[in-house]
Amino acid sequence: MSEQGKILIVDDEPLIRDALAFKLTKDGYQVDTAEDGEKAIEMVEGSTYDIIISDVMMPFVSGFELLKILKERGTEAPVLLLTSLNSENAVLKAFDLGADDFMTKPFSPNELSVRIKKLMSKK
Amino acid sequence: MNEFDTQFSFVDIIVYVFYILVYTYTIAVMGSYLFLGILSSIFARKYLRKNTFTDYLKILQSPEAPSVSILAPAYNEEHSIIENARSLLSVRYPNYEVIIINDGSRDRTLVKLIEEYEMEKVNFAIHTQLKTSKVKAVYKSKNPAHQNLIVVDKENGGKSDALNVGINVSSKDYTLNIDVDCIMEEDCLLKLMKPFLEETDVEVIATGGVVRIANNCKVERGRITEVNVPNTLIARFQTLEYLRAFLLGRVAWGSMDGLLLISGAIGVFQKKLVIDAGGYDVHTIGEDMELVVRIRRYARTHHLKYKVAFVPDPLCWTEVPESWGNLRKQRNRWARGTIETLLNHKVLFLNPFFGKIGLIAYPYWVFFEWLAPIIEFIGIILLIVFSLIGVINAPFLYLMIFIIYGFTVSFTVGTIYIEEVTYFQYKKRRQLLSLMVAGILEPILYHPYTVFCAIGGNWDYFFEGKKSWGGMKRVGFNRPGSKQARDEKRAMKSV
Amino acid sequence: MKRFFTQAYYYFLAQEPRYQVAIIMVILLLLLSVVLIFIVLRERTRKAFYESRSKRLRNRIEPIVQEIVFGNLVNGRLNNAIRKLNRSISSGNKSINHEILNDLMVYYHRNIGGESAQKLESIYRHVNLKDERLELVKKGDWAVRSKAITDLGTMNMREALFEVLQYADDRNEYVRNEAQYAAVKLGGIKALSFLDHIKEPISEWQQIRLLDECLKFEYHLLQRIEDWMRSDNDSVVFFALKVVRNANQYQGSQTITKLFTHKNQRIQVKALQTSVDLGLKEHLAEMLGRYQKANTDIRVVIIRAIGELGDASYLPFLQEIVEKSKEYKEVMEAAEALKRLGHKSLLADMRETLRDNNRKIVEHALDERI
Repeated sequence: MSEQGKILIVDDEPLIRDALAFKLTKDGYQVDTAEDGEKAIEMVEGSTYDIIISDVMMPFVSGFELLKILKERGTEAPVLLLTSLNSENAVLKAFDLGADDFMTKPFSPNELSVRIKKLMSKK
Repeated sequence: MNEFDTQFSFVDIIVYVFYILVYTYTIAVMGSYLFLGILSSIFARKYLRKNTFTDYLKILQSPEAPSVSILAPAYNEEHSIIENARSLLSVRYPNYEVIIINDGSRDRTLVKLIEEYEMEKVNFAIHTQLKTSKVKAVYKSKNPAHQNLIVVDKENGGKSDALNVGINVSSKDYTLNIDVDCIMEEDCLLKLMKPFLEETDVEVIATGGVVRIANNCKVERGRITEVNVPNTLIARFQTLEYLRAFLLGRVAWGSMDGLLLISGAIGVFQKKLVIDAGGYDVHTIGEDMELVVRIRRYARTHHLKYKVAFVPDPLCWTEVPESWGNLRKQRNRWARGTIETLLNHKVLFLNPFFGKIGLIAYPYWVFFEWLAPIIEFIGIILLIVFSLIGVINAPFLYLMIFIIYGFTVSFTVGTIYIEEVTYFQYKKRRQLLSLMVAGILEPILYHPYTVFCAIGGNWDYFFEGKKSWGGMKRVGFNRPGSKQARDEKRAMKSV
Repeated sequence: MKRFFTQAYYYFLAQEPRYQVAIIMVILLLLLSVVLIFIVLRERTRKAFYESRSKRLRNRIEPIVQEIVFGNLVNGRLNNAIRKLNRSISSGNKSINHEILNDLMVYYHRNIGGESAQKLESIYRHVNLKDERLELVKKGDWAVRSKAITDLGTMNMREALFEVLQYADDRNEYVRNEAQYAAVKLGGIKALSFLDHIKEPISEWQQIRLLDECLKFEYHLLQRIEDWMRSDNDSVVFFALKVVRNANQYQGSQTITKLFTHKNQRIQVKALQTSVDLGLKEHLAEMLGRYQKANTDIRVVIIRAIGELGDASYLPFLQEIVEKSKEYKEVMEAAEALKRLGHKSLLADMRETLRDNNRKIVEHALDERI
C-alpha cells in the first residue's frame, strides 16, 4: 500500500478514469478503477480503500445508489462525488445520502488533489 | 367484317386492367420507397454531422432543462422488473421521475419492486385528468436515493390505460412513454428532448427515435455492450424490416413532418396536449399510432403551429418474436390496429385542412401500408391464375417476379449500405454477410408470411369482428357530438 | 448461356415501353446493389484500418497529453513533450491525426478546468490546432465550420474572437448559433450585444447554452438584462428572465412586474416565477390583484408566491382556496403554501370539513414521504 493511500475511481467514461488515475498516481497514491457502481461494490468488498471518487451518472448503479450502498455496509472510506450534474438538488441529495465531498465537472485536478488530501487527513 | 366486332373479350379487359394496376402500383411503391430512401439518407447524414458539434451535456447541466416523467407500464414482468427499473433510474437526464405502473400483474412484479426499492404506500392524490380503471395504491421509496421513483398499482386495464394512469400521476411537463423492457441508449432522453428545445417557428408536440433489435445482443447492467445480428433467421428478417422501416421510412417522414406513428416502445410527448386530446384510447389496438394521429388532429383543429419530430438515432433496443406463431399474432394485431386508426380518422383522407398529413401521409398509409398486402395478395393470385389458364405467358410471369424480387433485394442492400455509412452497428463481417443472405431469402421465405398475417388481420377485423379490445366505444373526435368533433368541424369550416 | 441472353434480349425488345422502363430500372438497381456491396466491403476494410491506426495513435498521444496536463513539466521537458506530440501526429494522414488529437483535447477541456485546462489551451496553440480550426472556419461546409467554431470556443481561443464574430449573423443557422455561443464564451458579456437587436427567435437550446455562460459573468450584467426584458423579441425576454432567475440579479425588479401583463402568457408565468425565486415580496400585492381574472396556470404561480413570500395575513385566502376550489392544482398549491407558512396543523384540522377530492389533496400535501 502506497504511503499516500489507496484510491478507487468509479466512472463509466474510460478517458476520465485514465486521466484521474494518471494524475493521482503521479501524486503518489495507489489507484484502482471501476467502470460502474456494481464493479465498485465488488472491489470495495475485496479491498480497503482510503477514498472513493465516483461519478454520479452511471448506467445501472448510479453514484447516488453506490453511495447509499457503501454507507449501509459501513464502508469507512470517505466518498467524493465528481459529476456533470450541478443543480442544487443534486448537491443536496449527495450530502443527504452521506457524501463527504462534491465536485462538479469541469473540475480542476489541483483542486481535486487538495480536497483528497483534506479527506485523507480527516481519517 | 362486323364494325362492332371489337375482338376484345371480357377476360382481355380484365387482364389489361390487371396489367395497368399491377404495373402502376408496383412503380408507385418502388418510386415512393426510392424517394423515402433518398430523403432519409440526406436527413440522417445531416443529423449525424450536426452531432459532431452538439454537446448534449449542456441540457444535463442546465437548471432550465424541461422536466420529464418516464412512464413504464408493467405486466407480469417479475423476472426482469428489477433490472429494468434500475436502468430507468440511471437515465442521463437532470430533472425526471420514473413512474412504473403495475397493470394488475398476476405474478410478483409489484412485490419485487416493493422489496427491492423499499417502497411504502403513500397518500397520493391523483389528478384524474383522464378516466382510467381503478388505482389501488401509489408507492414511494423510503430510500432518498430513489426519491424519483413512483410505483402505481392498478387494476388490469391494458397498456393504454396504464399510460393514462401514468399521465394522471405525472407532475412533469413531458412524458417519455416506454416499454419497461426496452433497453435505452445512454443519452436517449437527452437526444429525444433536444427537438423540443431546438424549434423556434413551430412547437414540437412529440418525438420518436429509431428502435433496434436486441435479440442476441449482449446486455450488461442495463446497456447493450455488444451488438449482434440475431441467431434465428426469422429475427434477422425482422432486423432488415426494422432497418427499412426506421432508417428509410420514418426518418424521411420525420423530416417532412409527416409521421403518423411513433413507436410504442419509446416516444416523448407534451403532456398537456395529450391530456387535452383525450389521452390514450383504451379501446383501440394500435394505441401508439392512434394517439399520434389524434394529437395531430387536435393541434390542427386548434390552429397550433406544431410538428412531430423524429430523431434518426438508435435510441432503444427491443426484443422481437422468434417464433412464427408469435410473429403472426403480432402482425395480425398491427394490421388490425392500423385499420382501426385509419378508419377512425378517415376524415383526414385527402382533406386539405390537414395539409401534408391529409394529402400525403394518410393516403400513403392507406394505399402502401394497409392495402399493400391485400393488393399484393390479389395480384399474386391473379398472376398465378392467369398463368395457369394461359392468359399470360411464362416469360411475363418471370418478368414480374424478376422486377419485384430485384427491386426488393436492391432496396435491402441499399438499406444495409445506409446502415453501414451512418450508424455502423454491425461491426463483424460475418454479421453483414448473414444480413445480406437474409435479404436474399426474405422475399421468398418471410415476406409472403407477413402478407398472409396482414391478410389474416384484415379478415379478423372485417369478418370476425376482432375490432378492438372490448367493443367499439368511441372517444374524442370519433364520438359524434363530442366537443372535439364540434371544434374540428368549426375549424374546418373557418378555413 | 449465350442463347438465353439472346432470347432475353429479344424478349426485352418485344416488350412495351413501360415494361422496358421497369426492367431497365431494376437492372440498374441491381447493378447499383452490387456496386454498393463492393463499396461496403471496401469501406469496412478501410474503416478497420483507420480504426486500428486511430487506436494506436490515441494510445501514443494520450499519455503525452496527460503528462503535459497533469505533470509539472517546465521548459526543456515541456518542449520535448510538445515536440513528441507533433511528431506523433505528423506521420500518416495528417488531417485525420489532427482531428483525433483535436477531439481528445476538446474532450479533456470539457471535463477539466483550472491550471490543467490552461495547459491544454497552450498545447492546442503549439500544435497549430487553433490555426487549423481558423482555416476550416473559412473554407468548410456548414458542419465543418460549425464544429471548428465550437472547438475554438470550447478551447477558449480568445484571440479568435474577431474571426468568430464575423459569423454571428451567418446565413446558415447552425453556423450562426455556434458563432454566437462561441463569441460569448470567448468575449464575455460584450459579445451578448447581439441580443439588443436580434430579430430571429433564439431557440430554447441556444438559450440553455448562453445561460450556462452567463452564469460565469460578473454583476455588471444587470444593465443589459433590463434592456432585454423590454425586448420585442419574446425569446430574448425569456432568456433575460432565465438569467435573472438563475444568476440572482435583484435590480430592475420593476421591469419584472411590467412583464406580469405581457401579451405572451408564458412570459407572464415566467415573470411571476422569477419574482418568487428572487424572493421579491413587494410584488405580492400586485400578483394578488391579478388573481381573480387569471387562468389556472397563473393562479398556481401566484399561490406558490404566497407560500414562499407571504405571511399569516394570507391564511384566509389560502384556506378559501383549499375549501372551495375545484381545480386540483390550485388546491394542491394552496395546501403546500399553508404548509410552507408553518400552518400544517391548520391544514390537518381542515381535513374533516372538506369534500372528498380536496381532502385527498390535503392528505397528499401533509404526507412528508411524497
